[in-house]
Amino acid sequence: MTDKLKIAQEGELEAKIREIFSNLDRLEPGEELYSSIKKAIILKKRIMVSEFVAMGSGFVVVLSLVFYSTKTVFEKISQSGTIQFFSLLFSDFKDVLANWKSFSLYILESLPTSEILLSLTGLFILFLLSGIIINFRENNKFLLN
Amino acid sequence: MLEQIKTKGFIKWGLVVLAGLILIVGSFSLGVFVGFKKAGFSYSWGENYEHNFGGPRNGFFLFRRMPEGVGGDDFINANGTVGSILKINNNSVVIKGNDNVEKVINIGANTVIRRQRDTIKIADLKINDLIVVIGNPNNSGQIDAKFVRVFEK
Repeated sequence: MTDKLKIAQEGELEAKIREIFSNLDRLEPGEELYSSIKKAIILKKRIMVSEFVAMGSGFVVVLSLVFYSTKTVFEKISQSGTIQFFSLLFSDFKDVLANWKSFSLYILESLPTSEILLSLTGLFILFLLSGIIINFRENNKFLLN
Repeated sequence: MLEQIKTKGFIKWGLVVLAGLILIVGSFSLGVFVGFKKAGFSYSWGENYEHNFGGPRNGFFLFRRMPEGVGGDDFINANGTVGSILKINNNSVVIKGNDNVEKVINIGANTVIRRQRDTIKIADLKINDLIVVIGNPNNSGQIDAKFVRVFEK
């Protein structure tokens, strides 16, 4: 009951405030202040656009690095004969199972770990940058548009 | 402190941290194990090069020949190989692997050699046949084959 009364009273207060302000002339800032505010907004907008462009460029650079490292991973895997080894899983599954330790060790030995690590790190940075860019754009829509 | 430990969040994050540590340490141990095997085989391969292939490791007439794995990796895979046959002996074959390194593959009584669906013998292998070998390294820098698959070119 008390809550309903409170809400009703707040509604009345809001209506009264609206009525008061509807009768007042719109307040305009002084010319100097207006000019300073305008300059600050333009500067802020420029800084944000530069930041956005920098993030976008970083994204493109990381994307190309990820593409290059992933390409290197596939090249190394095809050169190392790992694909032929994997094909044994389909052609000679029982024999692979009988020698699963050696099979697994060969696969682990022939993995290009540095390139895979580079690729995964690049992907991680890409995801991070994507999140930052989306967040940045969401928070600054009114300035970037 | 006791109240903090009792909360679900503490237990959850504790489990996450522990799982992460196990994963990291486990991966590291596996890497050390695989690397040790690979390095050990590469060492045996180098030490027994003359015995296995004849001629000095660095080649004749100052032509330097260093084992170069795929992409400049200096270690040789120890538990198998893919390559084409260079030479066939009574109980072994010499192949040139995809990493441009010669390897001796010992074919034992229990080694299974397959071409398409047939099980064949060492005498049925031919020079330049492309083979995939699964096996174990020995102390002489050779691979004792358990299974050999011959690919048709």
